[in-house]
Amino acid sequence: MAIVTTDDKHYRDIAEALRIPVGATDKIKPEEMAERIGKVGEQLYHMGESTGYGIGYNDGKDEGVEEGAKAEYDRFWDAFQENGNRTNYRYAFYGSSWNDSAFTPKYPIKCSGVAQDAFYTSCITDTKVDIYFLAGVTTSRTFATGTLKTIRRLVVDESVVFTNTFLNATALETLYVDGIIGQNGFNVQYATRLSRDSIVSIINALSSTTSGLTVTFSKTAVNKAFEQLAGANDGANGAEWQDLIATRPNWTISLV
Amino acid sequence: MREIIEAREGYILTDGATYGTTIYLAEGADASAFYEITREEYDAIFAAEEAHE
Repeated sequence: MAIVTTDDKHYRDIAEALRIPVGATDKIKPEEMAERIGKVGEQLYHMGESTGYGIGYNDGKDEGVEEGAKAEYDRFWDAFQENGNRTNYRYAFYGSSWNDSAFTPKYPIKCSGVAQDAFYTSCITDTKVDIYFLAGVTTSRTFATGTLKTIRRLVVDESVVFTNTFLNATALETLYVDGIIGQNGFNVQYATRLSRDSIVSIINALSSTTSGLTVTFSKTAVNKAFEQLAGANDGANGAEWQDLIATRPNWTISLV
Repeated sequence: MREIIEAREGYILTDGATYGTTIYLAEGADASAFYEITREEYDAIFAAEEAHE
């Protein structure tokens, strides 16, 4: 065996290079270095395997959970809304168990059968999707709940009759109406916080060709929405309100 | 030109179908069809409406 002279710094560097990747702290003798070199590769492989597995597992799990939740959401709402073809929503969202967390409809709500009591006493605050009152629908107490703040878009067929549809809808602030209100009974007297834009959309939806019909609003809401001076609550006396209702002279407009 | 009718304090105007404290009559509508009921009578009518079937 030949004995050579070398700088021991090289041995220290080699030992350090063998310790660091695997987090070792022991002293390594020169005669042990060859064996350790062989082992460090194996150690690094297992460390990488473990880390890689962990990352892969977690990513896969997160993605799987998300995909699973989406699949369950689709399965429930496809069935509950009959793939968007459901037309009878009587009691569909009845009661306090229905809240904003539970109420995540996939499809617009299109009612041509029964919409009676659809949201009766629910805790939903926002309808989230378009709601259609199609020809033939019954609308008794559809939105009779004191929690609903927003009806994003209600599309109304001219033939639809309103029967206590908004009974006790005391929280209602936003109600955008599209289509044509052509029958009697549209009554939002309980909606004391109904916004100006909502009231305007309702007036604009009133049929311009019928006669003998009435629409009812909350006087508090009108006074606030069209107030002439901030805090005066005098909107019903103002020109803006008068000009608005003048666009529908064929309608009796009642304030409660 | 619309006729506007107002109920006295504590009363509600009605024609049997429409209710209100201020009513902006449609052009040509008959104001004489409206009469006053008390607020209590009005509340009783709507309490009956709220009774669930």
